[in-house]
Amino acid sequence: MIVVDGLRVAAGGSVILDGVGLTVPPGRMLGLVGPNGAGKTTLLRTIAGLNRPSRGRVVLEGRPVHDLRPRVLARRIAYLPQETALAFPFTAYQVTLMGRHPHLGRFAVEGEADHTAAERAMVATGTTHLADRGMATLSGGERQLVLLAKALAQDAPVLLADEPVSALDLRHQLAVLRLLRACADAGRTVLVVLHDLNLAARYCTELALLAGGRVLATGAPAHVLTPEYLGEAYAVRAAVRRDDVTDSLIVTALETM
Amino acid sequence: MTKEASAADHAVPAAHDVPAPRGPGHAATGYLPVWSPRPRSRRKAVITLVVTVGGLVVLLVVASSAAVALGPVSIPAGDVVAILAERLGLPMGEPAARQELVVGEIRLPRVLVAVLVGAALGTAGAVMQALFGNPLAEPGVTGVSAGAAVGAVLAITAGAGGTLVLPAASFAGALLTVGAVCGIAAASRGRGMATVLLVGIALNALLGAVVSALVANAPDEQSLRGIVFWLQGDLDARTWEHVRLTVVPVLAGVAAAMVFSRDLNVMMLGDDAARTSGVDVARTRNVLLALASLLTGMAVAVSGVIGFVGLVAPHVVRLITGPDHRLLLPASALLGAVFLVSADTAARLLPASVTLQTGVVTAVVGAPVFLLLVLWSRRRIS
Repeated sequence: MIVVDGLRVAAGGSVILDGVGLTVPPGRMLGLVGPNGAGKTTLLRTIAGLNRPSRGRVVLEGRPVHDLRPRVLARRIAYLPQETALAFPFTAYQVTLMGRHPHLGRFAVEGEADHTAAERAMVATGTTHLADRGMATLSGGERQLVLLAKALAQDAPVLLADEPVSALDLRHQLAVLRLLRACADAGRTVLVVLHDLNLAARYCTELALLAGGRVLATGAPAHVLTPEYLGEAYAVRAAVRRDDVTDSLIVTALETM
Repeated sequence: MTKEASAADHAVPAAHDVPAPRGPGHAATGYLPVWSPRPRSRRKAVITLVVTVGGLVVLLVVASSAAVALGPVSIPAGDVVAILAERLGLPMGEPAARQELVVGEIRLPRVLVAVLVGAALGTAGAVMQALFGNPLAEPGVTGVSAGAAVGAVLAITAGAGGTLVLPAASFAGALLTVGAVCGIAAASRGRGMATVLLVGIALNALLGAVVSALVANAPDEQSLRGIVFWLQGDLDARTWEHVRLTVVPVLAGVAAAMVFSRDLNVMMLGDDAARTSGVDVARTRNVLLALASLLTGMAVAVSGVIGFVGLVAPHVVRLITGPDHRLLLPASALLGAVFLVSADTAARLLPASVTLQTGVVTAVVGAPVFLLLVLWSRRRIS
């Protein structure tokens, strides 16, 4: 269970998040949506412990996230960044195995359990055939899947992903989102920043719509994705209807306001 | 089954077809525990580790033995073995006093200093390349070599000779530079390695100018020659004093750096990914920056500025065995030692009419090797 309470984050003199509150129980997949600059990535980074709030706090299972040491935090929260640079030619398997880092002592070597976790993660993400390939030789979609495998191998009850599908083709988009949803259905807490409202409506159990550093609406997709909220957040006139095939909401932006 | 066929079998992620079942065994991981053929990487990694480290140890023993046996004064191999055995407390016959002097007091300490300096530079180079995320970083990137040079040149122009004064002055210069770099890095918290790199460039330029000014104002020919020799790096006339001075700090520094090798691996994913994978990035970085700089300062203090060892050794290792620092750090230390011992032996074996310093040989050999490696690796990737 993640509780975000009265969060205020400032950077370079400007306030990016102000008075943000959220509660995400286990088994849910929360989509953070909103226009550019709304503070979605900052909120995710603050929950991950990467940004320090100037007011308010993030509480994970009753303990403030910013009081935990990185190693302890990494065993509870796995984070998939938007972009990952890799200067040296590690293989996909080596990168996946790095997810086990917080579970290993300083002088320990990966054991059977760690290799098993890495392999399961690669199977789940469909990347076993890439195991011995260098990360630099993979396509953007393949690399994202491997990094997701690394996050899964970390075996943390909370999974944060910052725009995990924005650079991916249709097939990989579905693969990643289905996998994240499967993690939530299996009892993890998943928070994911998404730009595509249709994918968000289809895969997330609930959404939080951010605008101007505040949470405008939160709850089930049908509650959040209304023409009124969307107009307020994005300054567009939008139509929202239900898709016959997927039985999820579809948002169509009609014109700017 | 061919590799392509097995790849096709796994092209469809398991979790796509079947939703992950809830159950006691699966709740923790949350995705299907389908068994997979174990990636070859794992066994390969163990074999690579054993072969590489073992091979390099053998290579170092061979290179060091050759270095002790070879030189302008030719000494039969049997006598060399006898002298070494005696040093280790195993009396084997009676070698001539002159030969014992050459091997025991001249060649042996020189070889050991070369081993220690090479190991320090190889490790420092590998750590710096990792910290800066750049395979072209070298041990002196933070300005620590230039700082050591200022200390040494000051000592020489002040006329302070002595086996210990020069290393002490040089190490003091290195320490001051490390202090300045780490202080500035700490003051610019969160701005990362780009700041440290810029500070290093500025310090290198500043301290280089100081050295130039000191050279231009050198009091006499004698000290000018001393400065030039020192700036190129040389292992001539190293004694047991130098070995005693460096052995503990270098071995401790190399071992301490290795403690952080898995953290370094994870840090290659970037700051955010490393921190959320459990690495205290800022602290680890500061510790390693200080460690690598101290190793460099120690090496420069007893040998002068020897280039290319810290750049080439990690680069070669990475090309052969991959970027895992658990292998890269010890292998770079060993290869750095092999490289410097060999270069120093080559420098000693030249005819008496030609004088090449150790640092010149490492550059003459290292530069073309490095160039070939870079071109070769570029071709292999593209």
